[in-house]
Amino acid sequence: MRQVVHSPDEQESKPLTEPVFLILVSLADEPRHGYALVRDIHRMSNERVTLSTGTLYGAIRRLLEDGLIERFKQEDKARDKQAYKLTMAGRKILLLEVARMKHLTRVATARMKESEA
Amino acid sequence: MRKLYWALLHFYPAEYQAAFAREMQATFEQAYADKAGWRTLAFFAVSEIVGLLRSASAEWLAKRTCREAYITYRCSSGEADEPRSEIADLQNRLQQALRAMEFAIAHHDFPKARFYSDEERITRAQLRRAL
Repeated sequence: MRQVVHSPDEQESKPLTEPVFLILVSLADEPRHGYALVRDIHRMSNERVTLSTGTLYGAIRRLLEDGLIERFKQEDKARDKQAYKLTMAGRKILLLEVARMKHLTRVATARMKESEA
Repeated sequence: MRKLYWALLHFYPAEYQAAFAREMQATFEQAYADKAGWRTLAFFAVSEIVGLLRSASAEWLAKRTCREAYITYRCSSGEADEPRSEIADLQNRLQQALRAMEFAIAHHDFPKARFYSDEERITRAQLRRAL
């Protein structure tokens, strides 16, 4: 019988969903709270992506559970304006995803050039 | 609209409501205040309601799948839990690093094993400081 060994890094090799990727990118430079994330993602995607609060917090819950983001303590902020920041693991996953995208872009560009030639 | 949104938040599991309902309401109110014109408002209202109902169903499914692991204390919003959750988070990261290192060694992936060994050392130092 064939034995399948699952790597603990399985998560690293899975492509991220678009909302998750955009949340991680948005948190890459500084901590942000919910609405700041929605606005930044809207701006970053050239107004193509507008996350609903349901989608945003569903993704935030999963990212917190996976340890990719964490709550950022701000003493002067109200509790209902909680900010989030990337963890080391989150930054690593984001770097891997960017590398994966770069690789795919390189392959796609090369193949399109081949077909044009 | 705000009252309707608050009422719809009750579709989520209780644990999720405790952790995120206030933040979601605040985010919704900020977004709502930014919208102008009935078309924009109508589109915003529909997308919020649909998004919320879809997300609530996904959360119930996650709760059924994860059971007691669903929204652990790491996600809870209690101030008193924060130091405990930080320690638990570090312990969890330490366990993950150890498991990943063992797996890498077992598969002769030594660069990866070294990486997780460093991660384990850093997390252990952070844990010592937190304790």
